[in-house]
Amino acid sequence: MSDMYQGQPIEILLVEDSAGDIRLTLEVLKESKIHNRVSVVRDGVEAMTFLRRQGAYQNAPYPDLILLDLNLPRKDGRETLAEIKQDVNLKRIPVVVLTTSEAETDILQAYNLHANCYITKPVDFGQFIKVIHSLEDFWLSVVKLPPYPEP
Amino acid sequence: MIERIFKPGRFWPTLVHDLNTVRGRLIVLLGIVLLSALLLTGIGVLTFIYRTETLAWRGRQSEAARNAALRVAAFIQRANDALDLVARLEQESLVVEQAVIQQLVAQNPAVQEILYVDARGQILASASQQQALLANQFTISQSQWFLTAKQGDRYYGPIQLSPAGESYLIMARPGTRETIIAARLQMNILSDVVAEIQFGERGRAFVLNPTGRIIAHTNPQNVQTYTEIDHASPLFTALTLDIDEWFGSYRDVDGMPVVGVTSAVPGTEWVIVTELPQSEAFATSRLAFFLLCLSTVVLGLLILLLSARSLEAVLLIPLEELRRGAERIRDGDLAQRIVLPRPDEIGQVALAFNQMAAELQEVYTSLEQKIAERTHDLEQQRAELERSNTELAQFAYIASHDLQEPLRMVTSYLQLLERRYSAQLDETAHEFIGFAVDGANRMQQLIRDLLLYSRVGTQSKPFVRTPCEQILQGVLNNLQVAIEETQAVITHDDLPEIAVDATQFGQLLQNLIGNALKFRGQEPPVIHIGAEQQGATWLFSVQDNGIGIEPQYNERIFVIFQQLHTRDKYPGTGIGLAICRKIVERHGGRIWVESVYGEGTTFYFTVPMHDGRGA
Repeated sequence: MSDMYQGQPIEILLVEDSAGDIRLTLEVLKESKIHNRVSVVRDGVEAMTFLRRQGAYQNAPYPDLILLDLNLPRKDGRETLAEIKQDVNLKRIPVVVLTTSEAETDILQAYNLHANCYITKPVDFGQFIKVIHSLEDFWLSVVKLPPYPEP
Repeated sequence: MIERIFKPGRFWPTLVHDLNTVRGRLIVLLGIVLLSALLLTGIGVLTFIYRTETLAWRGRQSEAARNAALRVAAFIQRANDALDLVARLEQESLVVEQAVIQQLVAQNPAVQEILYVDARGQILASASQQQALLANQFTISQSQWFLTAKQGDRYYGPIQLSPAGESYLIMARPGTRETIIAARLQMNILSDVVAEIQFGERGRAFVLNPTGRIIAHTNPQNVQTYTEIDHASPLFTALTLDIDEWFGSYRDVDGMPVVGVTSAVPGTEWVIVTELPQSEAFATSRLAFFLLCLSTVVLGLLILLLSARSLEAVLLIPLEELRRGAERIRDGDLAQRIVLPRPDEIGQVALAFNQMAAELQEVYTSLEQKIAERTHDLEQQRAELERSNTELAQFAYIASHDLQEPLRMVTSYLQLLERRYSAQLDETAHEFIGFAVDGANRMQQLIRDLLLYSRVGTQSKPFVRTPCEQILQGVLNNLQVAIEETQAVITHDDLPEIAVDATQFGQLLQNLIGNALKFRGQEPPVIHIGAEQQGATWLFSVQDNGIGIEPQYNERIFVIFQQLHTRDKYPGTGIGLAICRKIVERHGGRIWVESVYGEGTTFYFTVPMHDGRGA
């Protein structure tokens, strides 16, 4: 199946403010079998600018998957999620909430805002690798994603 | 009740029933005092009138009787004088001439007959106005008068009736020469005297002889039938006493109550009685009595009515005003004041009342102010509590996210280091990394447990009636793996249905049963969950046959993060029993432990029976 994407890498948008986490995620994705390209934005405002290809992101790619942290500066993950899911052009992009929070309220709220799934970052690095890989596997190989919308 | 005062028509009927009211009591008291005064005055006046009247009648009766007595006495005296004249003549001239006697009879119309006899009863001389009764040669010597005079005594015969129905009397005296002079007197004089006595309308008079026989009477019938007065009568008693005059009350021969006066006729044994019916004698007294009674009643009622009216004005209407004021104050109108500007006691009561109301108002106002202050304080405390709860919730969130973030960073990068640079690191470096990762993991566990502990207070649900059996089954399901692994035998009593926070109650049971499984001895665990009702409280127990607890740790085990064993032997942070205690306390109960070290432990906790509304 991975052959399908041989020429065209999978586009992932990582919305994360913690440099440590960004690096960690990138490190794990680097080890991935699937050819991917990760764009990183540091907050919700930047994420929306990226997704709407505004400002410096005129030529930004249309992501296949969004990895969204909840606690972000300026515009936090919940607002960003709500905005994405209300946008006709963006709402079909699968959003995976990837956060440290185990709070029930956060989980409930995320799903209420139509998050596609909610994952708590495991403390154990080995576990983290497993989680990221199974995410890739599921969302980028198993699941049939919608076609790109007409620009 | 006081309202009735203002309905005059119901005044008197209610008077009797309302002895509970001040008005009723005052009026009754007044009535008693008034009646007593009137009665005393009345009795005094009556006594005075009665005595005056009695004295007046007595005087009149006595005068009439005395006059009559004197007349009768004079009459008898004249007759005596005639006899004495004969005796004197006999003494002086030795011969009493027939002519002299005839002259005496002629001169004295009341003397019917004069008889002059010798000691043998032979008539020496006689004269009579009509038929001679004494001059009967055959009867003289046996006659009482003859025998008495012959003894030398004067004789006065009883009043007798002639065949013609006229009363007469025979009197005789001894002469000087063994002769006897007798005279027959016509006693119509008595009837005349009696008839002449006039006093009152129904006043009567009569003459009694010493035996109580009526010898002359206003009503001649009483004489002809030889009527005697009742010997039991006070009049008869008076007759036997040798007194000149007597006054008393008694019943007359017809049985009528009378007052009478007696007067002895001098020179005779007769007594003249004047009688007057009491009804007439005391007519004025009676009239006075009736008038007095009537005026007492009328005056009494009038005074009562007037005093009741004035009572109303002076006492009852102000009292009513007081009552209304009090009621208005009772109904919460504390600004109410009673307007009774009077210098008297009621005015003072009103004044005191107003002062009380003012005081009350002041107290009330200050109380309201205090309540407002307290409410404000409470509100502040509540806000404070809410803030602290929010802060706690915030802390919980921070603990669940922000605190874990750096830990995760530490472990992840340590592990990344181990993974990427495995070849360059020696065994000691790997060991160090292991300790660092373990520390970070434990730190995370502690944070999680702390979060769990804090949630017992902040994330609680209301108490709902829940069958404990159902909760227990859920707990046993959760612990199924551990139960199977340890081959534990778990039994329980019939569990009640009580109002609890089911989630927390489950957590409580799970922690206790989990502990029993965890701290087991050599043998497979035998665990019993007990429940026993003690009044309004349920006592639960979780008993095991585990390793037990030394008694000095009975308290310490419930303190957060306190452990009795190394983590190598029994993993955990020491949060379980702390959470248990917090849950039990939130339910209003108590938790404690009883244990024999090495033999087993029993945890007890109580749950009061809530009404289901929860805390």
